[in-house]
Amino acid sequence: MAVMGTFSSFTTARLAIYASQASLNVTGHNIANINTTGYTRQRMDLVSLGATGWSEYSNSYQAKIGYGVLSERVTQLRDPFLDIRYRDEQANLGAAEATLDGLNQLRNILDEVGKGEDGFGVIEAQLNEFFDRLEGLKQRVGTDEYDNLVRSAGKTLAAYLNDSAKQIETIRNNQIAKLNESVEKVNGLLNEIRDLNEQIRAQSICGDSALELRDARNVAIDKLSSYLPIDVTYSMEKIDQNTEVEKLSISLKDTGKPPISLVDGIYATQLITNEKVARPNPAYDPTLSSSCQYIGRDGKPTDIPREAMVVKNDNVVENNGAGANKTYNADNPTLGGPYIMQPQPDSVDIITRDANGEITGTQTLDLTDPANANVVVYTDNPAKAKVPQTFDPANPTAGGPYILQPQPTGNYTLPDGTTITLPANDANGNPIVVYTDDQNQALKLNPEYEPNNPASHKYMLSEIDPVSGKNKTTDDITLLDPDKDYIDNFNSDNPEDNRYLFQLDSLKDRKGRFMRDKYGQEIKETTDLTDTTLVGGSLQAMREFLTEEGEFSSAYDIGMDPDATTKRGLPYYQHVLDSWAVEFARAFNEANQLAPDVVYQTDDTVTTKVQVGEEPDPANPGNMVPKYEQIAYHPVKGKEGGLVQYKAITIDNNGVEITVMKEVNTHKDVLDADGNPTGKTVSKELSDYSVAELDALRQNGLLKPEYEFYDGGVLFSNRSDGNDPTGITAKNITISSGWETGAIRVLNTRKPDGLNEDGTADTHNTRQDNILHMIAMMDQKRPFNPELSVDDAQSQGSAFFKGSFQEYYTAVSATLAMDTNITNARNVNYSVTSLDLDNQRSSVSGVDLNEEATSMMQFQKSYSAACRLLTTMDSMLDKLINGTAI
Amino acid sequence: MGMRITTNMMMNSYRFDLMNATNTLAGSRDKVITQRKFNSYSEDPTTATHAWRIRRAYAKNESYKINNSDTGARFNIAWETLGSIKTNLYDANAKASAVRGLTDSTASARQPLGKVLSNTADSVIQAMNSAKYGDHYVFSGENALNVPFTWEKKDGKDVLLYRGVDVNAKKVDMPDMVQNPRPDWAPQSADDYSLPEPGKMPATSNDPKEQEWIDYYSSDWAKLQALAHEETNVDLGMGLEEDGTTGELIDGTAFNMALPGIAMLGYGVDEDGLPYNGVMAMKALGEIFDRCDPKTGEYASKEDEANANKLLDRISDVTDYVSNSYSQVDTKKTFLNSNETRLKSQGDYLMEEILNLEQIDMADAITSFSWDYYCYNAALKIGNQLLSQSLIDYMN
Repeated sequence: MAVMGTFSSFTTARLAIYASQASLNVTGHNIANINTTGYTRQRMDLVSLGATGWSEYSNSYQAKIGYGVLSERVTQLRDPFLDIRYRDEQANLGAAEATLDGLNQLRNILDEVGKGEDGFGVIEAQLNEFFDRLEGLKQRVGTDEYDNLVRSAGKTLAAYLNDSAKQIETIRNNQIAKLNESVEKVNGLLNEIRDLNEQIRAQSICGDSALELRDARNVAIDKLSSYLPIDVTYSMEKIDQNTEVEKLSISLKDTGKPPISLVDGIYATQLITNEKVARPNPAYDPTLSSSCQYIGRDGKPTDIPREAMVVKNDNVVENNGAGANKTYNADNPTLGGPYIMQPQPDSVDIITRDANGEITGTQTLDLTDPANANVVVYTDNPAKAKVPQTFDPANPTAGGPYILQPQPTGNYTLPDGTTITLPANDANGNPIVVYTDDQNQALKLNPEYEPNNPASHKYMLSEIDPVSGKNKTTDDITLLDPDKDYIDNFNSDNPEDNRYLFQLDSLKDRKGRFMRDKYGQEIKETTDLTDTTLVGGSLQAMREFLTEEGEFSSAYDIGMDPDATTKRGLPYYQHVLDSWAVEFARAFNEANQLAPDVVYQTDDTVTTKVQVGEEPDPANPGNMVPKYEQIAYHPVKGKEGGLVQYKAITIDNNGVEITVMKEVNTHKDVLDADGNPTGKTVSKELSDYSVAELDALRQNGLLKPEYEFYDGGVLFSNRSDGNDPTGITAKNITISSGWETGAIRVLNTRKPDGLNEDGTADTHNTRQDNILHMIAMMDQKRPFNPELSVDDAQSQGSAFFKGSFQEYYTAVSATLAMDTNITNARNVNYSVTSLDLDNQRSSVSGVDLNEEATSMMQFQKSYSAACRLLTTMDSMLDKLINGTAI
Repeated sequence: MGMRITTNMMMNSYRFDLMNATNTLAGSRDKVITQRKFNSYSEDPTTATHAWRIRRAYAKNESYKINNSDTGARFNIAWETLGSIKTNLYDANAKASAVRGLTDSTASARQPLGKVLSNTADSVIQAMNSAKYGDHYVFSGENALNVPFTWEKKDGKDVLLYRGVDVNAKKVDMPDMVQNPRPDWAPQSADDYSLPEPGKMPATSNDPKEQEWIDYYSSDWAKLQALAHEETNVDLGMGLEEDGTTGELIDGTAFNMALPGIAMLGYGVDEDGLPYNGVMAMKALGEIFDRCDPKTGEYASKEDEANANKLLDRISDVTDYVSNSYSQVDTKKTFLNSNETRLKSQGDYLMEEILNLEQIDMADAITSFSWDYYCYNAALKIGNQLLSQSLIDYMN
């Protein structure tokens, strides 16, 4: 029979009531929080209370009875592995959603399916209209109204292109704002997680589980996972000898070992978006040993000065003197010993002893006496032979706390500017050592470090190395010129040039104190994230949408991201529209002009007919008609080799001043391999003339008689008030001012008119061979090279598309459609997977009303039973006490 | 026991599925309203690409139809004009032929007939000049803004000019290209009748072979040859294409709609100086008849009589020539008519293709919409019934 107290059953009942009540409270808590975002269901852990120890009077039958139930603690039911999987999927989903959002915005501009009258699109339809107007003009050459129709069609087409380009710019601005907003949200989340970590840590130290805080933290981490690809790890942090608490760390996924940390316990970083950043070196590889300048305290190579081993002065001056007696004699330290005392004393006592070892005399040797300059005092205690720690800048070899790295040889410049010659050995025959009191000068260098290897340095300078022909590189950011070596990054005046690279600030706690490394040093370095550091998440997706140029990528872009040519973001679509505009304008401008030396008079002698007064009409003497004279201009001879250069000439001819502003140089030098003229000339092409020359010719040049009716010129320009065909983009393409005013018309033929016998022009012909050529051009298959709109594109001469103008425009929409399709499919896939994982999490940690209802019933019953036990014991004892008393 | 199904799990899954049902319903609705199988490129990139291709072809086909119609109108005008000219010539021929066999007593009609012939010649030229399509003279070739034929008085006689060149140019043989290849400044092709570009041909040359070419190209005959062989090409959907190397139009890919008036009426003179041009032949005969004795109709000279007979034959030949020109125009007109039919049916086919690619079958679309709507309603009903029940609702 068990021995237990009379009233111990009351304790059992009481504990049972407490347990049931506590469990009911937990159930109620679960039910109340069923709709709380991120809530993890809780459970009361009950343990049976049993007696321990050996009772004085025990039952031989060993019938020990427990004393009831204890509510040990409340725990959460959560599967961390599902959290990891869910967060990985959230990063993918965030990236897909961000990309899809951008592509859908582009689709509104570039996708013409179902748009326009009868579904013929807008720009597609306008191209058809332009073609139709050209056909119309071809049938009615010589009628200005049909030329005006072609012009208005061209103007409308250019306006549509301008609109599309501006809308793309608007999307860019919206995306930049969204990116900035997302960065703020990420920083907010990082701070929130850090603060929650701090609170949880504090409560954990006091023994509290802080379950609700953990739930809040998980919600924040879930949100963060959609912006950045993260790894969450838990470790134990030692508070004191007996106390350990859990520490949560968040790092960026796949960023090497050790990974880049975002949150480490109570410390967190912040994303920095600098307006300009140092240009990263694409060849830099931090994983190579040869890239690391120092040897770390752990013996491994490192590029971080803070982690580098500091070479301290632990030197002990050994007695390396040739012939020196190594056996130390304490009575006469000047005889020899293993070490040389540091510093040498001013005096030394020499003791003489007799045969019995008794002291017979003591002699004090004054070592400051020049006669004793060669006396050396030895010691057998290495502690007394250490080189002094006090550094003397004037004598750096005397001693100091640290040993200079690397050790100089030969000439050495002191801080005061004087130069000394360092000997190989000191007076004692030991190798010279140069010391320093600046530990930053004593960092142990990595012998494998290759300073001349471009892969060793983080940053790229704009200066070219004359030997290698490539850009110089460096790790020292102070050597970079902000004007030349920094690149646009965020919010610059040229959004197209921004690279949107992030930096991570150093880890700090809530009060701004830096985290310390295991050696106790503050970690103050910032971390640069490159194009490919982030392997997922919406931030990287937004970044890529704003920067990726696809086939227009430069060598630098490809160096930073080898997959750059396969990623197409907003700049790609901007460049394709620009390429289209450039090629369209170039083709029609070229077709609408003849070379100046074909059209304009460039003979040795230029003649023209000018009005010099009035004379009576031979047919009707009473009337006065204009009087003309042929004026000959003798041009100024130019360079040798047949070049003739005309200058502006003003001639006074019988009171009539005539000026021709004409600078025509119809030939150009043929140069040899060294760039020197060979004396030969070739006729200049249209592209050799500047815009100003062509304009001047068109306004003032003297046309040849057979081209008297020539009215060709630039049709499409980069501004509406000029005739400049250079630098055309989709945003600025417009019809030229010459065409707008009628000074320039669509050139109907490239052939000259006939001449009458008197050399004057026949009437203007109505040939339409050139218009037919323009019409044929619309269907002609032509290559579109990336260099049309981007000078440094690395296409190596190959076209990214070959087809007609209309096919090209359709291909742009098709490319966008394929990208959208792929992204949409990924988005759907990730959404389904994400939902599935979330459901699995809910399956483990979600609250089920049916289950809680069951629990309620269960604990209600157990509460009732406990109460019944109590009343039963009460009645039993009442019977015992009151019923059996006398 | 299997996986726990919690309330929020069901809610999340339900929300996801309801949104899918809503998206599907919205897609079906869009298809019914727009009557299109796809409303964005990304919905069906392959079909959309093909559809755009067909649309471009359709738009071009419409343009070709307009070109064809324009060209057809020109040819109609030319055909009508040549038809009336042919009738006038026939008429003149018949009258003149009737006069040939007249006796002296009725030969006095020769002089009035001469005037008739002369007037007929004028009316032929007027007809040719009045053939206009808009601002363009149909028979002016590449100089369509100016009248093709003009009269000029030379030594008291009427000289007919076609674009400033006398139509009665004496034939000048082209130098033998084997013995005397064309100079660099001359058009190089054997069948190229075009003239050298102004300014390129020298006025004279010390080289007799080159001078031969200069003489040839300077002659009116060469100019008339060039004018008679002018080409004016128009795109009628025959695959207009330029040679990638030379930039020249590839033969057969465009329609030559040139109608140089000089080629219709003829030009040049024979060894006797008698014109091949029908108008000038009538004029010449008219002058001969005009010189006849007004009372007897006797010819002014034996030479006149001989020339009159030759000119009568010439007019007969010219009538055949003009008939031939008329037939050629008629042939081309017929081609244009058949081309118009071809383009029309091609346009219909292309539109049908577009509709097949893009337009939805309404019955199918409405059925799909109805089904999606039903599924959507079913999803709403499920949500209403399933989510609200739990054990708590049944507890006392």
